[in-house]
Amino acid sequence: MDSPVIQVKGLSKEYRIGGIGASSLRDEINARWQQMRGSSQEKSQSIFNALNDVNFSVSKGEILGIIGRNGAGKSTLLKILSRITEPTAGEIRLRGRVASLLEVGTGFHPELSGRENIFLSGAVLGMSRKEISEKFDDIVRFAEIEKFIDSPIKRYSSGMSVRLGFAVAAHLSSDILIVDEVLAVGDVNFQEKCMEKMNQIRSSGRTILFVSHNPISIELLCHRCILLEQGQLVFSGTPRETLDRYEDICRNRHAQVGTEDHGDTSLKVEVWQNNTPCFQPDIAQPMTIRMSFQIPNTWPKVFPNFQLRTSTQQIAFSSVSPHLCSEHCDEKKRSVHYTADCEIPGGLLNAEKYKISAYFLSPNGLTVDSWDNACTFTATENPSLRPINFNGDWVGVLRPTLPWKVSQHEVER
Amino acid sequence: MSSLPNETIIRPSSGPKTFDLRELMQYRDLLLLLIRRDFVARYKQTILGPLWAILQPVMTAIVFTVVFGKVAKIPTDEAPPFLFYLSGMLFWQLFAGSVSAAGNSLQANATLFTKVYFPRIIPSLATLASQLIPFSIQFGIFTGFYIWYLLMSDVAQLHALRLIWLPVLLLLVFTLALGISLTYSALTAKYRDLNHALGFLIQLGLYVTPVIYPVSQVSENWRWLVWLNPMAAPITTCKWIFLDAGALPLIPLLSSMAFAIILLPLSMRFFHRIQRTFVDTV
Repeated sequence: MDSPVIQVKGLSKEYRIGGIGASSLRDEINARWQQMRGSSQEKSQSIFNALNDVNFSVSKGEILGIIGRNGAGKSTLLKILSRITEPTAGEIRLRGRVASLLEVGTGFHPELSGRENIFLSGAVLGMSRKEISEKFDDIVRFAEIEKFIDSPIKRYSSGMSVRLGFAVAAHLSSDILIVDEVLAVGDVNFQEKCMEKMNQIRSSGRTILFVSHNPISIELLCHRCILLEQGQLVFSGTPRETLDRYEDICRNRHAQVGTEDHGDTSLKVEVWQNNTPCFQPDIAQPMTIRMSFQIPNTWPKVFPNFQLRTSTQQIAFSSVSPHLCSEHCDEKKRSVHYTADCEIPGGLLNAEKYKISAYFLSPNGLTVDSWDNACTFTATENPSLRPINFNGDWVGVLRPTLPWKVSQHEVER
Repeated sequence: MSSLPNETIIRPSSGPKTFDLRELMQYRDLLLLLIRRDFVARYKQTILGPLWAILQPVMTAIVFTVVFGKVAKIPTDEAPPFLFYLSGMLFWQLFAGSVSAAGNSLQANATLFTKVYFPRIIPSLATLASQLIPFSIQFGIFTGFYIWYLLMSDVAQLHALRLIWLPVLLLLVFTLALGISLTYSALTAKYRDLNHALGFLIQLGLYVTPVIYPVSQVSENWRWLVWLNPMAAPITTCKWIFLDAGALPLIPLLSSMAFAIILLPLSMRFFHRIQRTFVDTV
């Protein structure tokens, strides 16, 4: 019977955040002292579940892709599989030799030559000296560093050391290979070479676990895919199905950010167009930034205000409402809900991803409270509406449609 | 389900309570390469290179001869001061060098440990082993001066039989250094503060240990306090072997050995326990 090569059962990993386990001696003595005195100081400790009851198995020769958003637990899973850290609960059975490649150039020492580093890195990754000697020439050829093999790698360009790192790792002979997004290195040529190498490994019948954000490489390489979300395995299927599910999750997450309740103001920031909330407004049409909120009774009167930023955090502009809002404007003690709409005219934004950060300013200009990235949206355009026949990205954080006046003069020569 | 050959099982706090010797053997190539790396990298781009390993002890012994011998006039049990200090520094340097290099091994290798698995005791072992290289150089220098002294002095006499003790001392100091380094780096992983104390403690250790003074200078009532330090006996023994300074401190030497033998497995267990989840707190 062909039993699975990797079997993961009920795997969980908890991280403690704050509290005891603090890294300073003083903190710990302090904490112990507080305990001894019986003070009922609340422990600021909370538990974060990086992985929660994950089960899956991989059979021999299978290539399994692992996808998920940042913080979904992919790296933690790989770290446990590569024995870098221990699980809190559960069990993994691995049959065969495991090689994991979580970083390119693991164990390199800048002062040593390329030659010495090949041996060092290979040994760190678990190869014996004999094995490395046998593969030495292949590694050097693959990395294309024949000429520099005896210079210290601190003199290498970053591309060269990355190539060397991947070359060493790619020549590891193991039954199970664990790879974490290392393909995202080097120039296009080298990436192609890496993919080729991965295909070669794939046809050699080795089992591979492959984490990537790149849907193309996932689809090209993997037989099967699992999707992690908040430490749980939420889907397992063909790469295409799993990628679709992944996209759904990412989209939903967008919606969630926009409607997230924030503190006691119940702040909601949304983008509206054509009387419906939307995430991909058309830049040619007017749209509305809507802030809905309540004012806590401890607050002074405030002006709602927002900043519009690009995905690179450049501020496109900020706008403040001229209306003061306060809790006290209703005498019947009913809670008051505000809706502050700011209209952005059509023909102002560029077609790109924007983030809105919301602020409440007191009349003397102090920030009473703020919410960074309260809403994210992607402004879109209909390219056929462009006045000139140009299809590339339009530069600038904004792309206002401005009145132009072009006149002609005839001057006698 | 039984464990098949070639099968790895990962469970919370699984596996042996201390390091698996079979696994360490599988990584012996790594150990050798790390020893080489430590040595080669240390002297890369220095003009004098390994000559530093010669200069350091000689200069230290000269300074000690001037300061403690000529100025402070601390007696040396009738031994020539220069050789007295040089022989005292032999094992002290091995110990201090090892602990200062390996006493922080978890922290120092944190970036490596978060990316790849190998027995985490290996860098400590490599660092300690690479200390044997400067030790051998130092020993060579000492031997040179010692032979010259034997030839020139009328009273000097080589006690050949006593040399049998040397390998014992080497093993003892090495074991002590390993035990203390492992304990210290495990503690440092938990309490970062200790990182700052390491250099200071080693410096202090030089004065607490009878390196620059003979034990005979300490009054009888307080001598037990000196012997509490496990490094006191091997250093005094070394001076007794070569220079016939003082007497063989047999009881302190045996208790120092007992201490080392108890400390090593304990420190390995402690280090093993800390390193398992060390990367979670980096």
